[in-house]
Amino acid sequence: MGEKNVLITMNQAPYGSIYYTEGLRAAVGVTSGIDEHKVNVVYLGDGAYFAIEGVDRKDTKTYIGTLKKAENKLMVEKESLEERNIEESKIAEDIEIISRTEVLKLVQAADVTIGF
Amino acid sequence: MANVYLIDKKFGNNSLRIAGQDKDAEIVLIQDGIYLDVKKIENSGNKVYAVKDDVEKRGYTEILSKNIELIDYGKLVDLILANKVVNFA
Amino acid sequence: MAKLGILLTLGPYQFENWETAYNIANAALDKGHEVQMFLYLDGVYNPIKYHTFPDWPEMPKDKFAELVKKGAKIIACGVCVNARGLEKGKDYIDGITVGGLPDFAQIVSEVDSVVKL
Repeated sequence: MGEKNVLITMNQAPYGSIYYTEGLRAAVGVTSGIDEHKVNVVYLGDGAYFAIEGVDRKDTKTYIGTLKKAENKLMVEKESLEERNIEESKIAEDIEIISRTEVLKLVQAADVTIGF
Repeated sequence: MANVYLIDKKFGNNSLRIAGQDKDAEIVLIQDGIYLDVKKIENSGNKVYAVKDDVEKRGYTEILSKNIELIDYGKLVDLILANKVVNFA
Repeated sequence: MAKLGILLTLGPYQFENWETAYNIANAALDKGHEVQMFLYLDGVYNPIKYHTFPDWPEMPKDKFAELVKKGAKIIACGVCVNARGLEKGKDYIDGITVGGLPDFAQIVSEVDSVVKL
């Protein structure tokens, strides 16, 4: 079946539970096989809180570095930010803000979408 | 090929909004996902299923919207393998 | 015959995702499909052979043994296994392999669909 396009969605807020970091470890893991799958990461719902600039990345910076080096993108859904009253100016500059319509396009383009 | 959204309650709100905009979506409510209010996506015309076992053991058969089709694990496997899966569980 | 991949991230004692994973895997095997499961995070707690609970007639590990017997390939994340003191899965039921995330990447390559629970 070979190389696939995988979308990882992060739906839970950072800290309190480990999914914000173990989801990224899985995302890196998916890129680590013989077939180099394309992996995009998008933050949705409460996951959007991870996109805030001040979030401590001590547990995640290696994973994020690995993903970025392989040109895998990190994105956050604009509507999730709006629903949580988070201004776009508060978002880390390495996380791209995209609309729900664009999220849907990523879902449609992916071979599989896996949510954490 | 449809996009089969497997949706549990904890990721339900945001994922239903995405699925509601996807004209190729078929939605399967799984585990506590059967408690989700799918009224907001009923106008999308998307097919909504719920896992029969999850509905019955929660005593929810009569409460669940009649527009939702109950499926067993065999039918769920058919849907999963014949389509693309969008996991929100 | 098609191939199904399952990623299970929760353990046997606080969540029931293992049961959904079992039911889907079992239905797929009964239809003659191939099943490959990857146990991630607390999912690695499911197949420990010494698990016991007085009020349960059947333990999750017995259901996983059933899947193995029917031909399911089940791999546990080694980092997760050792992080939880499970020592390379030495107390696992027969037929469970300890591997790593590259094995999950390989499952993603090989299967027609992936279910995450």
